[in-house]
Amino acid sequence: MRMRKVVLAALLAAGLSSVTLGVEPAAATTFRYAFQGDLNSLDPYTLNETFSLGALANVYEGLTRRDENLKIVPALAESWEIVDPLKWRFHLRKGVKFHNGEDFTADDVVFSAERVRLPGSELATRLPADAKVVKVDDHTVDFVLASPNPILNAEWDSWSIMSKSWAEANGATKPQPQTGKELNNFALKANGTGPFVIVSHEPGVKTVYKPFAGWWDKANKKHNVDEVVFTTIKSPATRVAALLSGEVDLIEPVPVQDMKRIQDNPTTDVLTGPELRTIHFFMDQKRDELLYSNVKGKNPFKDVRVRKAFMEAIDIEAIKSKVMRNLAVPSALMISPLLYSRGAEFKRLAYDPADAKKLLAEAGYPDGFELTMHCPNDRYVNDEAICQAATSMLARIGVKVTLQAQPKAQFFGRAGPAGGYDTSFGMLGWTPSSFDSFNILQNNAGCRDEKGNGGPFNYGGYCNPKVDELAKQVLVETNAAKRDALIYDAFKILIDEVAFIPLHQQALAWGVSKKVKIPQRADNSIIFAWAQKQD
Amino acid sequence: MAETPDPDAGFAAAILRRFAAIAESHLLYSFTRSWVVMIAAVFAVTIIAAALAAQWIAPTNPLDLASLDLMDSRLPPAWMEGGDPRFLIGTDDQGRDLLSALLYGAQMSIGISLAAVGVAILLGVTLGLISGYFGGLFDTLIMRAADVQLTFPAILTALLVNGAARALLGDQRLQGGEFWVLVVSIGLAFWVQYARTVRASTLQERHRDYVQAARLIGVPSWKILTGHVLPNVLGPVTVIATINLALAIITEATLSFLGVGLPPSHPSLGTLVRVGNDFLMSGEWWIVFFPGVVLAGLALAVNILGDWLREALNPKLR
Repeated sequence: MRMRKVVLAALLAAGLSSVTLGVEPAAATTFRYAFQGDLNSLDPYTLNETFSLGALANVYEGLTRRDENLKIVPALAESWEIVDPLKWRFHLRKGVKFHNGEDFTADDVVFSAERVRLPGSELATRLPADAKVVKVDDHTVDFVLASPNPILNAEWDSWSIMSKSWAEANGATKPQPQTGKELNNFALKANGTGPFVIVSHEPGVKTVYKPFAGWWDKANKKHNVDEVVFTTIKSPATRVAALLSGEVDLIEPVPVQDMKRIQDNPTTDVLTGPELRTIHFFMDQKRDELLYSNVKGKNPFKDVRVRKAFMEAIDIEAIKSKVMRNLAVPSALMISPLLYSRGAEFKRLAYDPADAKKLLAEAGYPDGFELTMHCPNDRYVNDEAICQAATSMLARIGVKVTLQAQPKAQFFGRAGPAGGYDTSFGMLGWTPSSFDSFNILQNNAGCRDEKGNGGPFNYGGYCNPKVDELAKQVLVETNAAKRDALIYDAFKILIDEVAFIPLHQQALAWGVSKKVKIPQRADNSIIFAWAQKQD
Repeated sequence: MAETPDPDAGFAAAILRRFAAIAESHLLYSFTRSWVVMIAAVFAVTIIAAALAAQWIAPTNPLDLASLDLMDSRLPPAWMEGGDPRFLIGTDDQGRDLLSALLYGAQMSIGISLAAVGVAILLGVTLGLISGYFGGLFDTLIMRAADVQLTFPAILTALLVNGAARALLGDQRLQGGEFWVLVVSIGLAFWVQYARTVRASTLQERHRDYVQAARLIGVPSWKILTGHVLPNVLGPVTVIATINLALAIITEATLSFLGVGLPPSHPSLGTLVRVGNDFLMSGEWWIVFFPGVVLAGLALAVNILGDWLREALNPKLR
């Protein structure tokens, strides 16, 4: 088939004596993939979201990275040692070059450590706020801590190291904030040390990557592609059609209703696995009056009975079987049971609309109240449909919810730290990037101020000093059993107080062309360096 | 028809007389001669009547979220295997009865379209009358603005106005006001045709003796315009209005399909097609099929009626 095409092309080229025919390289292998949402800012500190971080992890690298089984392995740091509990020393890799040809040195690490903690960065918790980063020599950096932290580098795979001189030359010394407003010029460019270079980027439309010839890690270059093209295809049906017709090689997520069709199609397949992300509803428990509700002068969510009523109103089994077509595991906890040894000991509050009504009446809302719900509509599997289902379930206990589903850029820009948590009730999914419970206790359950200092992804602003205290102990505890017990205590409080309404862990589902071989990591990252495509 | 203008005719009287004339006119005759037109009329009238009566004939109220049961979601039409007799043409992904949603949705779509055409007529006819009658700088300005707008497709104008309204009002204040935003944005997209047609007719009428006579005896301009000129330029307006109604239905559906129209909890033909679109590949065809058929059928029927009206009213085509 291919032979015939080549011969034909050659004949045509000869016959027409045209210069344009036949000059196209015969074996340009392009790997194309499509996601439901946008890749917006290329600044790796703008958005703490698995998809954007994963897309940029092909361009930028951290001091560490994770292997196929999510184990932490060295990357830009060749090795590290804990000199004493308050001092970690990292030995940087020599001979690493940024895409613009500059050498990677300790100055870049010091610069990145400062930049990642500036206002506008959503990744500030990658480093303790009081940690000092000291350059020892060009290839050695010390991290001096104020208190011990055994999991200091657990999330550093997604803390990208940026070039100091490039950032200064491009006006990128401050991070691009996720406000849903216009991007700075530098946020449309990228200069990392990773295996791929971004050749062109149109936010929300298309991003083209090419391999970086000067990548240091020859051993890990397992791909055979000459180009990677990412496009946003929002409509599920269009995304499936694009995969079936061969227009793209990988789609994510696969609409649950089309899984069978993709499996039955001879040229495509569905890759599934458990995902680590927990989808949950958050409730504003911080403000004295909700921003978007008809209840004035008080905040109904400050009453645990109201939160409990909301949770009891959600028929999780119906969502699982009807909206998710059984491709989800209902969750009692904010963390996947795969990531916490004692996760199975917790039970979800049962679905009980009658009791929910009673609780609402006891709390002083016998006729319910009105409320606006904010949800993303292109981030998680069936996000909008789940929120819609929730509005009708809540309607049955008398709570009239107006749903506002938005694309993720607007949603995160409003409901997240950059927008000042401009929401009362809504949906968020969270994967602890350290794959550890402490991440949840810190990011989702830690007390925060209006700007998000403390627990930046605690959209609802839940706050219990006891949980914060337990989190502190969890951070420094080294005995596994004792640590798990502390985590248990903290989770118990979160569940008893219904700090969140955890829904489920969605199943990971990629639709993949059979021409493509690519490992599916449980954190849902698409790693180009491992992509193999045959023609 | 409008060949013998009566200088004393009031606006309402002129309309009444015109309707009376229709009965024995060529209009009714040509209507009975074409079966395509008759089918279209029956179809359009049925859909519109059913939609207007949605509150009384729909089996459930799709706006009442509390009545939805997720366990009923995506049931096929009643005659198929797995169908439920409660849901004649099946349910959507939220367990909403599709028939009820369709009736309410058609009502919403027709309501928006009628109101939008009303806005367009009001704006277009007023501007057309003024610029045709007075001429001058105002005329130049209006007509150049109309020329510029004509270079854009109507849907683009509607999207632009819609986007601007959303940006100005903000999501929160917009809530509940989506209906009017749609009406205004579609209305603003369609005024040009009316303005141009009315202006052209007004230019002709202005020089007629009855207008000149009225001016001579000192009738104020606004009275001449509304009392004398307007009734005589309305003929073409009715034709454009009918054809525009079909376009407005499609524009509303397009906007709602694109997600900038009504919120998903308020069915309109466009939002129903948008929801169904997600299930196009998965065998649950009824979610998109029925709203799609109604949308296409309604637009086609109204269009055929408009075409017939144009031909019947145009003496040159007789």
